[in-house]
Amino acid sequence: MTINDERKKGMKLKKLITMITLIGMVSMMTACGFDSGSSVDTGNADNTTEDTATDDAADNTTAADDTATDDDAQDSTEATEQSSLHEVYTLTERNALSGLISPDYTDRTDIDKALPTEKKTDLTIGLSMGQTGSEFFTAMIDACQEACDKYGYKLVWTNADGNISTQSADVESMITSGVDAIILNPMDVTASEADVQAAVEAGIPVIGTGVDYPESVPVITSILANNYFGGWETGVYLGDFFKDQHIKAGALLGMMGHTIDESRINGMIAGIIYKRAEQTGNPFASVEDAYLEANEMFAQLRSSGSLSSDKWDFEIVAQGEGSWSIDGGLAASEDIIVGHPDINLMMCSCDPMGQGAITAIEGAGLEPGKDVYVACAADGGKEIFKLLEDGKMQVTGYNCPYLNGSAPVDLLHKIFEEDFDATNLPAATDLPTGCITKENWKDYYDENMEYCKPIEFEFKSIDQLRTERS
Amino acid sequence: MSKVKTETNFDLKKFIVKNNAIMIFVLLVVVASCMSSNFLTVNNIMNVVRQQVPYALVAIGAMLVMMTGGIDLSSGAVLGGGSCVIALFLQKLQITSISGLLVGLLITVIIGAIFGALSGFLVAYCKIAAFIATLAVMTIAQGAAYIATNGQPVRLKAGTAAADAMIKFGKGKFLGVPLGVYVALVFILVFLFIVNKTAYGRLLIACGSNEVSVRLSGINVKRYKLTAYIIAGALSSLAGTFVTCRAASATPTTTGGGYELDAIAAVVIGGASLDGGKASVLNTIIGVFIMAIIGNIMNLMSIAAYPQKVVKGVIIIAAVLLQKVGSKSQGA
Repeated sequence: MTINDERKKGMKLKKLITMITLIGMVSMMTACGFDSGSSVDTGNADNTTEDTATDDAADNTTAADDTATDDDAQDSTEATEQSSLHEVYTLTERNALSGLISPDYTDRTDIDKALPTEKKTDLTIGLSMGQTGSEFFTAMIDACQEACDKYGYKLVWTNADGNISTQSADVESMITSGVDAIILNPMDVTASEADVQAAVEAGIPVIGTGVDYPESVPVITSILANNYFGGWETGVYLGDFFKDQHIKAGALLGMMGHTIDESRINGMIAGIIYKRAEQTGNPFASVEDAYLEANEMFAQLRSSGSLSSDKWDFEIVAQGEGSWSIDGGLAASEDIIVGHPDINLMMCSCDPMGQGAITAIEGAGLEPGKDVYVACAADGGKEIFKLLEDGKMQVTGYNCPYLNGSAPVDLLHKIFEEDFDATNLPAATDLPTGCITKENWKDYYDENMEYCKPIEFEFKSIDQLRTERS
Repeated sequence: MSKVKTETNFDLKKFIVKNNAIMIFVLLVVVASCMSSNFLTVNNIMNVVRQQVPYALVAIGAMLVMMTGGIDLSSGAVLGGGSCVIALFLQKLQITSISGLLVGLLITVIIGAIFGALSGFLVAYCKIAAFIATLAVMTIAQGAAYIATNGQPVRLKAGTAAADAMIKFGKGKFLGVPLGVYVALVFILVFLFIVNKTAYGRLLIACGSNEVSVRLSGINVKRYKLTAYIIAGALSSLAGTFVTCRAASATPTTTGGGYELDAIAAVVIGGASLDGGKASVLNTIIGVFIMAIIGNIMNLMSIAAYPQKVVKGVIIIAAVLLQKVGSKSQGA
């Protein structure tokens, strides 16, 4: 065989590979298109799985088990009955449920959290940030620094820049340098559990911030704006606002798969359908039933890129990824509006993408707040108040970075200097949530602050929370 | 007769092979048009071309660098830096006049060129691998942007001539076409001329295809390489100003936005060789639009986010494989 023959043979092979790849490419696009098209096109004509199940149900109440149609769900229902805990709290797939904590608090007294045994005043606190690439994180770090300055503590902070290995190295350095306590804003909750364990074993207490850890992880507590309920509150508001109106929405997430963004939009969907159920005179038997049904709807959005429900007169016709930025939200919104010029709502997981959506709506010759409403699940940045006042943005969720930054330092101060009993705090301490609208924005506004102003809140032990619940 | 027929077939094949980037582009447009009735609407086309203005500028710079056999990973960070520089110039220095804005734009471009010069110097004169040198410059540019802005977004506040001009430019159209597209067209034409019709362009290609011969013929290869990086830096920084115009704000997070990888992918799809010595401005722009259409059509079709990434990757692989087959066929 000559070199030319070999070359020709190689060429044929490459052509074959190329053709297969091209055919695969076109097939994938076609398959995705048909799949997606059917989910949108048939949405109005045919009920989705949960709709069918609910219609078939004899019970007049919109209950969670009406929606559970497959074997897995039935298994889960059996498990729920056994434990008397609602099914939504037993789901193993919880990426879109960040902040939805089981009310059946497990006592955490026996978990070693390396709490100090004696008072100390001149603390050195390590703050490990998973990332810092936004105004929100900058405000959070500044607030942490201010709180440390107030108490005379030294703050050492690091930025892992989105890299979980870097964050582990950062925490290890803090342990080696012997800080008195660590505030951990993890890039990845699961990956950072080992970091928490290592710090506690070295006698250094850890407070999480920004995300919720499982109850067994030895953090004193994790302080966070509840992502799910931030979305829920805006969803309830939207349910009221769109009473008797069809909702045809586009959804903007910073990134699909990101637990914070998924939880916010999931919560928003839950709030909308919860309110709609009330309006039809057929309310959910419990809020958990709404959470569960919304979670199934969100799973449909994640897998097919759209969702449609005749039952709730509600559809999300497209989703986009806006990288949490104005220009990202703008580009994603432009595509959504071109594809679906008749949408009447943009559901955004954060303010900057909402701003981008407003620009895109105006660019398409539509009027935000009239043709298309814009709703965000967070955060309440300074520039948003003007948009709320002008009616260009309908609502945003309260999410104060100052509290995220200062509350962990306040808690450390209480523990180290005021004998505060932190042995049995919940794994997640929720910061206040709220709904900032055109009507109430002045309650949250402070002209000297870049974000909505802090709201007073207190740390509650598991015993206190149980008492309140009972 | 049969001889003539054979020659005709051969020409068609040659045409397809030579213009495979265009063929992929046309194929994608046809597929996209069939998939979504909204794809070929004026609104959508204008959105796509407007969104691609910064990518086109970055890709032209990336192409020049790749022509010399290098690669520029810093272009996305320099773009983000440029975006912040112009916004800081207007807001922090309180520049309000149009003349001040023009000075600001010039400074922004110069700063981008300086970053490019640093990359070029490290590659051409210090003999550091382009991948590493530009990676280092990328992190420097990112850090500088965060320091300059203190990690905060900088918003253009309407009400001054300079800020209003930026915002209007970002939203403005002439004859229905976004203003930024005209500027990008000018740059495309200029670089078409430079690459195809000037000795400088031919020598840049020569530096990539056979550096030793060029050096032995008395040409200062280092200087040519340096200029490619300088131009790439300047173009990236200028592209950043378009991002600021569109969003009416700048944020240091843009420095990690991945513009550089999309630009490199577009250049490669456009037929450039990573080994240097081969690239085309027109094909690079077609590569930019191939990348854009892939994302656009999937958004229009409401395809879920996860499959989008897979489809995009497969299309890029298919396009590059086609390029390779085409170039081998030409060589055979």
